[in-house]
Amino acid sequence: MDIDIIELSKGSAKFVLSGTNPAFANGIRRAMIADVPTLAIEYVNLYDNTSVLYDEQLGLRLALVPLTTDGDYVPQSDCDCGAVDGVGCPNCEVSLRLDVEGPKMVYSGDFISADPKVRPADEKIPIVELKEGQRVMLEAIAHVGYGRDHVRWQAGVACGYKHLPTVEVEPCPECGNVLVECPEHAVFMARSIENLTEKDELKCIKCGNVRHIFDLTDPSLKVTYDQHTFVFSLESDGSYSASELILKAADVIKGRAQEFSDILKDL
Amino acid sequence: MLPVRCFSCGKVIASGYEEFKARVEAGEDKGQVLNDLGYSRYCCRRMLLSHIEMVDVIAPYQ
Amino acid sequence: MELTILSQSKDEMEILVKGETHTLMNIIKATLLDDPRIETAFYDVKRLSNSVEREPVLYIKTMPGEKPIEILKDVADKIMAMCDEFSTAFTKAVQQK
Repeated sequence: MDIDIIELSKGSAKFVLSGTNPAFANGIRRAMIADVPTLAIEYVNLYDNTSVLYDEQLGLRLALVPLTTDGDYVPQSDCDCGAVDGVGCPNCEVSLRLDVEGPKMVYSGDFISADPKVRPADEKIPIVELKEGQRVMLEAIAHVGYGRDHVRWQAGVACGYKHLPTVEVEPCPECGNVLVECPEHAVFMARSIENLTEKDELKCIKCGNVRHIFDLTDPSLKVTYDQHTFVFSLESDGSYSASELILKAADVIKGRAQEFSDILKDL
Repeated sequence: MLPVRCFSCGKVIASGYEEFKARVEAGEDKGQVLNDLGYSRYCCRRMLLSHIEMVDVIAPYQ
Repeated sequence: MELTILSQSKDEMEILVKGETHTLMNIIKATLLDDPRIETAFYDVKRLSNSVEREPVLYIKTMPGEKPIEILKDVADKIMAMCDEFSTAFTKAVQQK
């Protein structure tokens, strides 16, 4: 297995994974979206809300704010405290308070968190605009959860992969020209092979446009896909950095395989 | 209020709305502003482009 | 996760893997098929008669003389090794960058 990183920032990553099977690549992708646990607001105790949004709308907006997730917290279902009706212990929940009076725009950064390590990942998300005399006072309870249950816990955004394409261009045997109309400029439009300015196979989106437009049945442009090499691209919602997210996805699959193996041994 | 996340992909988009609004009002091209903010997919772009702010309309009736 | 053997014979086994999804099942299936001791393997996420939810059922048929459960244990170890390999490869790639 080999990994070649094309770009990596805090919020997004693009890399080429080679020497593995599609099942493993898909496992990583699915785990990033649905199985990496994150913190998100699940319960809201509202003491005062005279804003233009009614309570449920406000609750949804709060839930979708990504929180920086620290590994110390456990999901309530796995917590020793035996949480009932969402009331847990300091190991499985974090409380965030919000008390703002208008006129003012309420931002996610206005939260006062009980744990300094748990903060809104983005401080500039507008929650609600308060007019003169309006007030929002609430206590929000954040729990650890999984993306498969609700978007609020979805750590990976737009995670996807494609097989690495190989683009081969040959002069057309009939006219001696290469006609390429590529929407992603993976192969730039050129009248002949000598003028072909650039070829960037990572950009290929497998559109098949050339064949549709010019009805090319001859092998002047051949696109093949490597079944064991994957071009991954993903974004993180901010609860983890992109590289943490990728490593955590691998850990999740490893943990599941470990559990599977342990149960098999007792069977 | 603009939805916090994009309906389709889940990217957090609300944080860019104020900059988007300010720059578009200043006369910049909408598409260019969206590119600068890093909203590359059309699902995220339509969230900002098609949004209508209702707070000022509803506020007097609270 | 909860494992229940639905049917078993010398070289065949049908096993219900409660609480799992395609994420793990597909990797298990693909890794099983790479094993030369396996004749065939597949899984299906299906609704069993006494349940409302859909759970994956894994079916394995081995070559004569092999034990399905032993192969499954090897496969679980292989998957863990694959995850470790992925993590090390990724960490290495990040450091080189």
